[in-house]
Amino acid sequence: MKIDINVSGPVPIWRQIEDRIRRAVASGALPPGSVVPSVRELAVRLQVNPATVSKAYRHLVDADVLTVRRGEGTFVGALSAEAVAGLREAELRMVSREYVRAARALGATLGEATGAIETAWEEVNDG
Amino acid sequence: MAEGNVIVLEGVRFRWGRRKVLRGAALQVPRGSVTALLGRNGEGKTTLVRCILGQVRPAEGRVEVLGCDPWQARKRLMQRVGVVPETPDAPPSWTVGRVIAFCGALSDRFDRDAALDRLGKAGIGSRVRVGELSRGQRAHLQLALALAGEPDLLVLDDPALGLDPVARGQLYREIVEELALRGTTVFLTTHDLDGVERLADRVAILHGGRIVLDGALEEIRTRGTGTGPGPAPLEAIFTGVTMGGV
Amino acid sequence: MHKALTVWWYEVTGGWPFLTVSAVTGLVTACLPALPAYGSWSRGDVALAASLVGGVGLFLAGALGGGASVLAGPAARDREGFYLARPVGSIALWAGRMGAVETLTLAAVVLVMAPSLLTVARESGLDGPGLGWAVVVGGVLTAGLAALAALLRMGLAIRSFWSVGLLLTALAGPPVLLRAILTLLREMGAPDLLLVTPFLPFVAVAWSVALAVGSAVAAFSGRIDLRRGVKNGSAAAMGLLLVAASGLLLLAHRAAAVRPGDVDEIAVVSPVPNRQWLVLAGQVRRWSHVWWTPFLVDGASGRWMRLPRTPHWMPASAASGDGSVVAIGVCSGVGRPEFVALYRIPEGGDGLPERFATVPAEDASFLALSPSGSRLLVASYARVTVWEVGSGRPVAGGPVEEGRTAVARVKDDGVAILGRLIASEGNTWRFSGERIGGGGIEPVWASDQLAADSVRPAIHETGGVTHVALVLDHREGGGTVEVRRLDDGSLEWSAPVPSGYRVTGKAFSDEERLVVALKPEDGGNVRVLTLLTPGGEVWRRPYPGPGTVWITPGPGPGTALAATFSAQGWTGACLVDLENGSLRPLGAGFHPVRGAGGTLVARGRNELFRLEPDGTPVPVPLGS
Repeated sequence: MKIDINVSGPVPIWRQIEDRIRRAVASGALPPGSVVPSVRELAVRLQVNPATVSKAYRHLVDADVLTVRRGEGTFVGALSAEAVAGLREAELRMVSREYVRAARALGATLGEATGAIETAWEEVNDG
Repeated sequence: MAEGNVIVLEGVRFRWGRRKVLRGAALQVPRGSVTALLGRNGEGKTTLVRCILGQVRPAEGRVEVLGCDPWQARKRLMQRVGVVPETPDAPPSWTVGRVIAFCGALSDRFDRDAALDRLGKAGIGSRVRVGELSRGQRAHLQLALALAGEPDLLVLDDPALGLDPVARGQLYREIVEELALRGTTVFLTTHDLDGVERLADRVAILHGGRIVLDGALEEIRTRGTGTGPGPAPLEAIFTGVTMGGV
Repeated sequence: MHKALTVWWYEVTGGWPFLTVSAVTGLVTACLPALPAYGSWSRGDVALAASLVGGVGLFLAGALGGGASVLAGPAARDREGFYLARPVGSIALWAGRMGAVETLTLAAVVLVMAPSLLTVARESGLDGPGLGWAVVVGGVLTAGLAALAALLRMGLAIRSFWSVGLLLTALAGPPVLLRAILTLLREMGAPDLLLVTPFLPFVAVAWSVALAVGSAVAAFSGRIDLRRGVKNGSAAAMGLLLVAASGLLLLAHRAAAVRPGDVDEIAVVSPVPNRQWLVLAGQVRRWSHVWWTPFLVDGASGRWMRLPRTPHWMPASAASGDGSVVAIGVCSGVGRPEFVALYRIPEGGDGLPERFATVPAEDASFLALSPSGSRLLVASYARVTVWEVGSGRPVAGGPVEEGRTAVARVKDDGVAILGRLIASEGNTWRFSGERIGGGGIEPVWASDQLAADSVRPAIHETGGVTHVALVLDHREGGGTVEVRRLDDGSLEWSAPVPSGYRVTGKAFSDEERLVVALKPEDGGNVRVLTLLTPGGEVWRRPYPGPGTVWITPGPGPGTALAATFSAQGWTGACLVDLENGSLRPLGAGFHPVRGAGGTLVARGRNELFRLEPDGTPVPVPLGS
């Protein structure tokens, strides 16, 4: 799992980690039951305070996205299809809200905004 | 883990001859936190660190570290505090092995093998003279010495000074591992804001002889400087505080 | 404590240069006590000078050899942070700061000084308290130097005024240097320093204590902030030195304020022939310290002049036959006779005696001057030397069998005859007459074994011939009194000691009459006086005892002076009429004084009287 974090950006580091993992789960890149790095491993890999990683994981555990099994590690929770779908939907909504805010700040209409999405859909080609 | 503050400073004043360096500094470092002290050069960061380590005695004010007065109980305190100084100060003519053996003889709980192991992994043999190590390697050595005693508090005075990015990264990796392993309280002074953003959960800024900002990193960033939406980058906050006042 | 040792050990075992320094030092130290004397410098002096030079040299060599760490300084300061970050206390910090080079060179300095101090102590004939003094002084001085080296090692040595001051103080202070300077000045004839020598032990102790305390204050008060520490330490040391100096000045003033009339006891008075002056030595007791203070006193007017004082015992003194010169031995502060000072005595009128020469004769236990004062004979336990007073050079003499000199006569051409008491095994003494002729000394005659109770001879001089009266011990029982000429030992006359008695004192009235004090052989309390002549015993009469009877020739012809000395002090001073042995008490409280030959008596603490030929005491003013 590849996570890039931006330390000096506006988003707190723990939030960035949490978002990345949520996205990975929602997109299926992290299927249910797969193992995620321990707090320590991730902290070392990212060179951030383990407390930060720990905070992100805590939120994810609270939200049932991750499960901790003693002695075995941290795993992606066994989520129902609806839960996954719900996650996905939640992610989409969040991302689109960001897009809408940006578009509105540029003074675009709904039609222009939708058109830009369609164009981008064609252009962006990764799976 | 017990609650409480590992380091408490209240109203600390200090003078070097005529020059007033600290004019009533106050600071609290909670247990388990990673606190970064920022300040421009010459503002007295090192002096503050020396007060905390019991190397100088403030003219006024209270300093408490792990529940003791560091000036009175320095000897006892240093058993539980690991120190990484600004300039590496192990005697240059000694070999690494000798330094470790020497420090081991002085501390009650000092894991020589772990230290040698750690250094071995970093490619530093025990027969090399300290004077022949590169800067980064010396920083490693200091950190290994500081950590071998399993300290309750780790104090670093500008650890990244003069280190290239790779060396710096390695140093942080070591610190992070220690944090993950034992949750040691860390107090560091630095100019490396990148490192601060990654590692610290609390930030204090020393300006004009006083601590003008002291709180959780997030909070400080959220309060920001009012120049734009969202949390401000630390650099902006720092510049704002030290150039224009809060 | 063991952490301090750990730190120190790590610092010290750094490498081969330090081990080499210690090995060299060990060798040097071992050789020091074997250094020979040089000129008028005794072995102790040479050893001390060598140790000072060697010690300082080693110190600097070690410092320079250690990469000029003392002069450069930064290495010690860098290391300081390293030690401060370790769980070590102040002592360990200090050990770390001291570092290897200076520790070992300092140890070298200490090792080098110690045997030299002990050599000096032994040469002075010190034992018991005196040796203890030497050890204490050496120890404190060493501690001071050790502390100083710690400060220097801290790297502030040459950089600040305070450190330079402390360094100079330490190096210039020690009594070694002071003593060398005094010796040099003495040989140049500087007059006024004579009064300083008795106080040298105090100077040494004060200096060392100030240094040690100052350094300790610096090291501990400036635990972490060295600059402050050195300032405090220097201030403390200099402050202590000022206090000590004031104390010494006060002590000197108080001691100097003693006048002849203020002494606690008049011990010895020797009239100078043909002059109205007297050499007077009194005991002064101040604050449980006892000094012998000699003066020259004008017997007519009471004017007086102080001579260099001596601790512990009476100085040796002598006057020339014509009364123009008086010689007096001067001792160092530890009581070791160091040289002889010579004074010219004015003939009359208002002049004061003045010191005009010194002779660097050491260990002078007996002095004699030639009639005009141009030759001085100095006798010590194993050597007799005749000095030329004007030039201060030895002209004759040599080693002698160990013993005490009882009488000596020296002539202006340097020829001398001596009578010495020589002990053999057990407590047996004999009298040896010896002669110094053209350069060397040779024995001329010797007596048989002397009676143990009355070893000192009685001496009488007339017409240039000296006679001695000796009491010989005969195994067969009883003893014999023999009167012999000093120059060739020829027997003039002898008389048996009355049987059943032993002789305790004797004095010539003239060359044919000897008054003898006797005590019974069986140890009773009876005391007897008898007059012996070539014809035998003339009269015998009892004398009040108990105690020892002291006899001297009397103030006039045909008289003698007698008194008893016991634990109660002096009692029963009488004038003895030699015609019939009658006794005439002098009066309450009078007693003879040594050296006066019966012409002077003292009373009470410090009153002095001259005796008229008929025994009437006339007070001598003592200028109190």
